[in-house]
Amino acid sequence: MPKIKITLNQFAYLLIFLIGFNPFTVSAQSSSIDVAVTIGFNGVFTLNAWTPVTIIITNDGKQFRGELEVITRSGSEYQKNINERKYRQPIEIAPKSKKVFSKTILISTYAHPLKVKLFSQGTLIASNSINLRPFYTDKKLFLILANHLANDIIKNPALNLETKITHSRYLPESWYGYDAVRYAYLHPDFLRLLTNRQFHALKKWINSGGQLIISGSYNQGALVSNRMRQLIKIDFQGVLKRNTLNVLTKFVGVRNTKVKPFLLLKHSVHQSEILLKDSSIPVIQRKHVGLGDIMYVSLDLQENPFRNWKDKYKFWEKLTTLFPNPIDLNQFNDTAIMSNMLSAAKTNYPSGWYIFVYLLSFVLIVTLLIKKTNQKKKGSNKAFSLLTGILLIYISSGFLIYIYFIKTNSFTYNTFTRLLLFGNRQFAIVEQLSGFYSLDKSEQLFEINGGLHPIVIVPFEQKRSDITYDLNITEDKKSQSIKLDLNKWSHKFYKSTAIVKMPLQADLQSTADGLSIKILNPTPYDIKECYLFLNKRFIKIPNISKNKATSLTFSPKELSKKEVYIPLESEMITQDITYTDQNSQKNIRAKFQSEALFLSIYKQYKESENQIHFFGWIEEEVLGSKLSDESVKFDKVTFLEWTIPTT
Amino acid sequence: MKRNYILDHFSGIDSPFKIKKVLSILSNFVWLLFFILLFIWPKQGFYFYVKEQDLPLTYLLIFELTFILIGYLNLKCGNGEVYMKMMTIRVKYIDGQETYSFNYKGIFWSLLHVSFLLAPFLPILLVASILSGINIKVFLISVGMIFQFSVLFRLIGVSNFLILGPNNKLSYLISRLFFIFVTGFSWYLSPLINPIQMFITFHFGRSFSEIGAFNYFYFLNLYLILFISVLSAISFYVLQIYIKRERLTLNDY
Repeated sequence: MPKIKITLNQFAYLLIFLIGFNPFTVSAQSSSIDVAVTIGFNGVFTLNAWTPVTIIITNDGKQFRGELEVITRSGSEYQKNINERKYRQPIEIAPKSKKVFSKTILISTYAHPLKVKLFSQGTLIASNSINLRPFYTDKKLFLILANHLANDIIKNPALNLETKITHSRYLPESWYGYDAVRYAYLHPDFLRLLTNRQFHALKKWINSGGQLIISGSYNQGALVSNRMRQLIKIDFQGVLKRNTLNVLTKFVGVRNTKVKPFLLLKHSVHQSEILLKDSSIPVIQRKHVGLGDIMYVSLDLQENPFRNWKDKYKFWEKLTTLFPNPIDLNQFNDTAIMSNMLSAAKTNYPSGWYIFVYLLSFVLIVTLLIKKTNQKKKGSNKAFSLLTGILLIYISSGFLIYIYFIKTNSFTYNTFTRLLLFGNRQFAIVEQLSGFYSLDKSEQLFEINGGLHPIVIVPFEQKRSDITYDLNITEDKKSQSIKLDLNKWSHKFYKSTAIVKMPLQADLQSTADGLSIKILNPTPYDIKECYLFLNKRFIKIPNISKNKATSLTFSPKELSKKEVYIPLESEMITQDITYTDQNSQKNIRAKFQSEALFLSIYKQYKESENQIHFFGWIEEEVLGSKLSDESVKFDKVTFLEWTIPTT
Repeated sequence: MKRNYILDHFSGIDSPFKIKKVLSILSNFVWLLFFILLFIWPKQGFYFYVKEQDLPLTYLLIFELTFILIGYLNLKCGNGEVYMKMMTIRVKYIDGQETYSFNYKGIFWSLLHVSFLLAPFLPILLVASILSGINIKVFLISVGMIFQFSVLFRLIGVSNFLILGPNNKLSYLISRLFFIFVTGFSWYLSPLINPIQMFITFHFGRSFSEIGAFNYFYFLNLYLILFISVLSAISFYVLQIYIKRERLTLNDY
């Protein structure tokens, strides 16, 4: 076999090549990748609101596989309370291509720049730091989703909103990306420009309480599109020629103007309420969609005569007043709930008496045997053997107890879900508070089912400087997971919000004979331990079974009962639910309830008029969640709060 | 090294496991720790501590106290202050003649004795760890640390004993100074090898970078511990040679 000779120089080159191979490839890749970032809606975002960030990555090199990381920071360095929110996403970009990514993030200050980083196998490939100061506003937004409207068309100081026309590319792909949007105007032609994810996000935003204005279009194709039919269904009854804006000028309260002839669309929206008519033709119609509303204007607002109408600003202002007030689901304070969640945490010491008996018996036996061993008698050797045996027994049994205890108690969590319903809107806001409690440093992954959610850390009683409130979320298009990072003997609370369909129906009838309520529950959930909050009082009502209708009647005598001193009443409620079975749902619910919680409800709702409040508990998980360590046992409860308008 | 005391104290048949004095001290220590644990037992439930983000101090106090008690006891054992027969020299009778050899098993028995001294404390250490929520890894490392330092204290004791002989004031002084240095002074000089600092670090779940960086004293102390270990090894080796020589001389005698 021929010998291969390598000179020292050759060896050195080989070594340099081997060592330098990886860094060279990384630097080559970094030079071929470009990251461009657009914040908010076409460069405008509202502080303290979830906002979309559009990232365009251009890859001129070979196939790229890595991780995209968007980092926002809050707090002040002076006060040493800086917290980071990291949103990560695994990405893949084909060679010589460009890809658009949309993230929805929460920005609470412009003092810290937004950072976008690109990693490949843990190595930083590209990064971009954006100063947020030029892009922020503290106003809510009036978003214009139209192709041919000028940016200032809805400029109206009276609205106190920032008007923004945006390219479809910058629209969010998650519903909470519209968090900063007060109203949006949509021209039907714009719908086709949206991606599926963007369209579903828009639809879900309306269901969550968003208020959208849709105008008519001379392009009838856009009005009958599948997407438009998912928002509103329109009956086409023809067009009418008009040469005056009489109906609009009257509506706005300005002088009538004569305009060139135009076509008024004779459209009727299904299940809508007509708010403005021109003789028999509906001009403005309103429809409740989920918890939100859609307003349809039977004019093409992109075209003349509206486009050149000098009072159009006033029209927008007047139009927005036709929306009902956003559903006020201002909830009672989270602090009472978090405090209850903490006290309900499964973590517990082993019973003090067992441990005391274990230790005392051990010490006594050991002392006795040592005494026997020390006696210069026959039994000394036997006592020593027994001592060794006792030591082994106590150590091994103690070790087993210790392992069992540490495994089952060092980490636990519970979730408190609140379902917030309003009237017969069929949709509910789900707010899930997840509390994590750890006796040791721990890292876990936590997922909440049902797509992407706005997730925040809720600071609660921070007493140690080593506990930070950094948020670390990895998400793809359909799911997201939180990386939990807990210190020793600490807790963390995360809050997430979602929208779910909840077709509960209530029919209220108030007569001279009293009040009757018929509740229809077609959901798959039994609602237990229900209370009505009526006339500043909690009234216990029977359980509402699934797929059934329940009727309740209250006589005038019952309704006119004096107001009860609320702490006593809440005490009665909490005592009513007694601790029975160790693991029963009832027991878990009882742990979550407290006088503080009911007092908080009382304070929240005591002033509300023309409304009845319904409270109940659902045993099933409405949203569902998953921890990476599936062996961890946890408690879960769902509390239903339903506001039923009486008028 | 003096032939007389080595042969007197390093050969014998008495088992150190049954030394009355050691067992009595051990029993008292166990009672002491038991009462201290009762005294510092967390008065509130887990919920309270997690809410307050407070850590029950049971692990820290009990482990540190155990470390000091056991360490000191081992120092005394090594130094021949508690018992004398070290079972390091084996006496044999071959052809009616008394011969001596180095008892390698003695090292094993010595380590077993260190473990035996530690064993009665383990149930208390386990309970203290449960109450502080200490994980299994940290528990094992902590027990390992107590064991390791106990062996170290015993080594310094034995080295002293070999070189300076029993009931020597200088030996007494050196061993105590070393004990104080390892448990106390090294806190400032080289916290990374100070056992008390290590327990604090484990207790609060800090990272080791928080308690200090590697410094000159760290290496100095490591060298010191290494030096003591080497010194002990050399002492044993010398003892072994000495025994061989003695055997010859004794045989000749």
